Amino acid sequence: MEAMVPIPLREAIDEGCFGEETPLGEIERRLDQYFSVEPGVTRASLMNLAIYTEHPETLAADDESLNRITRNHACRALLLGILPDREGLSVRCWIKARCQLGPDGKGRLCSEQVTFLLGGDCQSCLTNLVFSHLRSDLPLVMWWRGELSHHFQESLYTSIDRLILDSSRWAHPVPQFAKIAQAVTAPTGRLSDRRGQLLVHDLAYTRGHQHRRAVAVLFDPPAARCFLPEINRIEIVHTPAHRHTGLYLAAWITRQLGAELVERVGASYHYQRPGGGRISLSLLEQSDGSAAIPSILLEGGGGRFEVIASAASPLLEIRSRFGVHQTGSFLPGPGQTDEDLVNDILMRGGSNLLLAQVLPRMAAML
Amino acid sequence: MDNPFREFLVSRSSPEPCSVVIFGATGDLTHRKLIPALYNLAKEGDLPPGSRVIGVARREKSDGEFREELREMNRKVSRQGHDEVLWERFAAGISYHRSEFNDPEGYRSLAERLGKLDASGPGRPNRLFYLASAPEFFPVILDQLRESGLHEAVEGGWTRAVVEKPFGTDLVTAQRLNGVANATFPERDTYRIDHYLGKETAQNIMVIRFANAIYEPLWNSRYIDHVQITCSETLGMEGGRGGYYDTAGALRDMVQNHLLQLLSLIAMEPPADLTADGIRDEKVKVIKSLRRYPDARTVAENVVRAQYRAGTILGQNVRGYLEEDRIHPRSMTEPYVALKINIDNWRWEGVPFYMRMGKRLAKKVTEISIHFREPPGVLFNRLPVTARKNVLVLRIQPDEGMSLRMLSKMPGPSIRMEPVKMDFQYSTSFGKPSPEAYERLLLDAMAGDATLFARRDEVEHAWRFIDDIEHAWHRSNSPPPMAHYEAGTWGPEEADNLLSRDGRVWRRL
Repeated sequence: MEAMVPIPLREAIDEGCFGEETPLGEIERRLDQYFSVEPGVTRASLMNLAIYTEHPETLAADDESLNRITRNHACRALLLGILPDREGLSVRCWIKARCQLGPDGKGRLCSEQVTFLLGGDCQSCLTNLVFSHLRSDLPLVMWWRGELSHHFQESLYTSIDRLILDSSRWAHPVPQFAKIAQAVTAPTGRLSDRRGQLLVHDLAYTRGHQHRRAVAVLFDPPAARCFLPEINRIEIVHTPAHRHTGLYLAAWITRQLGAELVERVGASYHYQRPGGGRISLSLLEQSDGSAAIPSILLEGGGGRFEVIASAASPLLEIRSRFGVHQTGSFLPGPGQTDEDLVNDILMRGGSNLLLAQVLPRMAAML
Repeated sequence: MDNPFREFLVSRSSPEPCSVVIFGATGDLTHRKLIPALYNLAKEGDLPPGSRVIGVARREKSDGEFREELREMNRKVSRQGHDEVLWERFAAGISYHRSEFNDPEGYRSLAERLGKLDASGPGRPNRLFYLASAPEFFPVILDQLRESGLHEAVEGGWTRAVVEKPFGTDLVTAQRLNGVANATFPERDTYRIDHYLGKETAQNIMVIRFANAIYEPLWNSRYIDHVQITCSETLGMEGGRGGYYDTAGALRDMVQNHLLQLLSLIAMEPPADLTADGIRDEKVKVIKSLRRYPDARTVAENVVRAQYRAGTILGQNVRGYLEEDRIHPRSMTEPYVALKINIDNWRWEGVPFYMRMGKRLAKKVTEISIHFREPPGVLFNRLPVTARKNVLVLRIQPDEGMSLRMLSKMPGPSIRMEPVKMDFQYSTSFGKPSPEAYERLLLDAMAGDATLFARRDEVEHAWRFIDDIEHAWHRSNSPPPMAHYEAGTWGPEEADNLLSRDGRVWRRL
């Protein structure tokens, strides 16, 4: 067995927030000790939630992310920081427990966290570390921060139940999506009892969830639905960092309208509808404002349907004009932070079938 | 044409925008429950845009005054806090309509008002009439809705009625009310609200039973010894509630509706599907199978009624029932009732369901406990143990969740066993609070999902069962006696005897 050598932390890493540094073999025993002072408390009853990052300088922020997520979900949290450029295998770990008052001040929501900092080429080490520190029988949710590196390997992803990532942060999305496609179709690993495919959640897609609801609401009135066959122009405005969210929304809207992509010219896409009509879709980049998707417009046959987000308001405004009608209303806007989005994903659960169907269409637009 | 953008978006039926017309708009229910529920739905984005609220009541009031009153109460009671900006947007859709409940002119002008509102928007002319007034006005409101034509769906829309409990005070009045309701609205559009069914744990009963493999094989008379349903309250007749309560009593106020609904969810067969009628068909079979008490003697053997006497609760001295405000000093109304119920069907033959409901008891708890039979008396089971039976507890309130008691070996060289408890609480696993029951039920009514609402036959069969007891108490020549208990205790000794003569005891709570 290769000897583990201690690694000094980079200056940028604030290890104080990780809790008590603990020898690897002592993790479970010491965590038990934390909870032994308060017997009867329910520990980590929902899931194993791992955050993976190859940017250890973000570990403190990731730790804060876990703090926010565990307010809503009692879990065994694993924070996995990798130092890929370090030679020789090395591991340090810390533990801590978090208990917070439950909803309405009732009960206590208790989670426990193990933070690992791994140095060197630890491909098999990572998988083994993860799987030897899970709470049994609970699903494994992994939030993969950044690009899918060579550590995203079969022995790991075949045993994950739910994978959360953010394609908007990828520098090279095409090979990354290919990896996802491979992972989704891989058979389930022997360490998982999940049935069916790996469930993938892309935060770039989740960021558009409230916009999808808003578009749906626009077409709830039957009179508005009469304009659906007439829609011939779609315009989606996105900020530079959220092009993928714009693409997902475009792929979703055109899929739901039954339209197929026939041509792309720059940021304009042309679709053919089953009945013979055409739709022209534009993705416009807007650099100002903090809303990921400032607006969506669907137009045609004299009808105009809009979803508008502004940085100043947490709400989405929906406006429509069709026939003699003119309407306006507000809906809750999307989560403001990645943690809000992850909380939404964990709260909704489910099989995320729609993303599975939209993803290939989105990838074709890249 | 369906809305293609709704595909996969939600896993439940979508509520449709509608005008919610609340009769009894100045009452406590509207202020404390209905408006905060609608506000919280709006805050979550679940209230369909374009929905409106029209409050109908007899007092003179402007739209502005009505909104202001609602705002004040929402500030105090809203589950998710009160956001002024959001409130302003929500309240813009609230208006007030003054009318006597029996005044045809008031309904004519209401129809006109609704017509104008419908015409001003693109949505369908959907209308949800919510009867939140005092129950004696239900028939006249329903009659007037019919007379004015408001009961009829406008082309392209729907019209539904939500009726608050009590659904009558006995079988005859329930049938009369149901007759009026169904003469006005078809049964499929009549939603009898029982807020217990909107509680998370009540909905979870079916999930626990039918989504897990381990319980249903044991869910029968072969493995279950008996079931206990307890609803205990520490409150008495504060806040003027004695006036109503003294005309109702625990049996009619709680058992006829809430507790029999819980019993039917526990005892029902697996439904053929999860449609409203699929589930309600099975629930009503349970209610129909309740063994009735044909005479006063049988009632005396199986039902205990009681009143509390002065005592202490949480260190406070409290008065006895007969000394409470608005209670008749010689009242024969029961603030406590305990029953032994038998279900005459294949699954539950020989398994008694014990039910108790009372005011001024030791603590506030609503729960169902399933007591399993003892294992064969061999091997470990020859050894003495304090509690041998496995007990599965479903807690409705407070601390919604479930627990399972089982035997475990105590550490040490000798074989000694003690009961241990595995516990699940919603609040220690999920940080997001459960929605209020009214939020869920209002959404369901807007979506046309009647699963969590009582159907006419359920209500009437429940009254048949209850009426036998009421008749024995109030109309027989030899009525069963009224028992008594000290406030702050767990009820009368007679209720303990109900179980002890079967060799059982109430679960210690």
